[in-house]
Amino acid sequence: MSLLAFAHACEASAIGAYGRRSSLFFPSVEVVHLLGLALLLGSVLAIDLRLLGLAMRRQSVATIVRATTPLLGVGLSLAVASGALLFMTEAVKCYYNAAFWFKLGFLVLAVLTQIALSWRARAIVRPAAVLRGWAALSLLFWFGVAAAGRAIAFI
Amino acid sequence: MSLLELCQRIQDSTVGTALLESQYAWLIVESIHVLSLSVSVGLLAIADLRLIGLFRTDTPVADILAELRPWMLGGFVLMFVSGALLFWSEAATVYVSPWFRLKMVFLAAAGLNALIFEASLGRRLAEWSDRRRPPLAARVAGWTSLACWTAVIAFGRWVAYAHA
Repeated sequence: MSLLAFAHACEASAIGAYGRRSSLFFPSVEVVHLLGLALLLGSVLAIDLRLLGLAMRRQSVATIVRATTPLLGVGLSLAVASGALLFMTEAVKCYYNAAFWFKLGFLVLAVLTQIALSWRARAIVRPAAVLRGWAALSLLFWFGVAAAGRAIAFI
Repeated sequence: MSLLELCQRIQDSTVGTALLESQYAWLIVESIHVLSLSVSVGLLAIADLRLIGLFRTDTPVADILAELRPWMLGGFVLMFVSGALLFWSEAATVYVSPWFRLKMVFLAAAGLNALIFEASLGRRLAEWSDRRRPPLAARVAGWTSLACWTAVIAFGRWVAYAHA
C-alpha cells in the first residue's frame, strides 16, 4: 500500500470519519496534544539544560536524566497518541502538507537524539563538549517538531 | 467607553490591524506563544509535581524551584508578550468569547495561587524544603497550579474554534 493509499484509509476509517463529524473531537484531542507537548518540552529542556551546564548544576547529569526521562515518556506518549488521532481526521491533507513531513523528519531526529543522549548520559558526571553539542541539537530538533507542527495549520 | 469599545479600538489600532493582516508576523507570534507556553508550563509542571511529592522527591524543593525559576520566568515573559500581541490584533473578537473569559479567569487564579504560595509557604521554604512529601498547603498549591494551567491551555485552544 502506498503512503497516499494509507492516508486515504486513515481518513476513511471509523475514527477519522467520527473526528470530522464531531465538532468537539478535534479541539479536545488537540488540547491533549498541547498538554503532552508541554510536558515533553519541559522535560527535554530540563535534561538538555543540565547537559549544557546551564541549569541544575547541583545535581549530577545522571540524576536529572533518570528522574526526568519517565516524565518525558509520559509527555511523548500523550503527544504521539493524540497526534495519531488528529492525523486520522485529516491524513490526506497532511500527506500533501510540506510542514507535516518536516515535522515527522524533526520528530525522528529528535527521538533518536534523545534516546542516544539518555543512554550516554546515565553514567556521566561532567558532559564532554560533544555531548553538549548533541544536547543543543536535541533542543533544535524538538523545537523544529513543534514549530513545523504549528505550521501545518498555516500553510 | 465600554470595555468592548475599548477592545474594538485596540483591535482597530495601527499595530493591531498590521498584525492581523500581515502574512507572516501573526503566525510567527502565535508559534512563539505556543512554544513558550509549552516550555514554561512544562517546567512549571515539574516544579508542581515536586510540590505534590510525586517527582524527584530526593531533591529539596528549594533547589528545584531555584534551578527552574529563571527558565520558567523567561518562558512566561515570552508567553505574555506574544499573548498580548495576539490580543492586540483581535481584542474585540476574543472579548466576546466566553472561552477567552474563562481562560482569563483561570490565568488570574493561577497567578493568585502562585502569589499566595510565594507570600506564605515560599517564605518559610527552609522549614520544609527537604521533606519528601511537602505540607498539605504546598500540595494543594501544586495541584491548583496544574489544574489552572491545564484549564488555561484548554480554554485558550478553544478560543480559536468557538468564534466561528
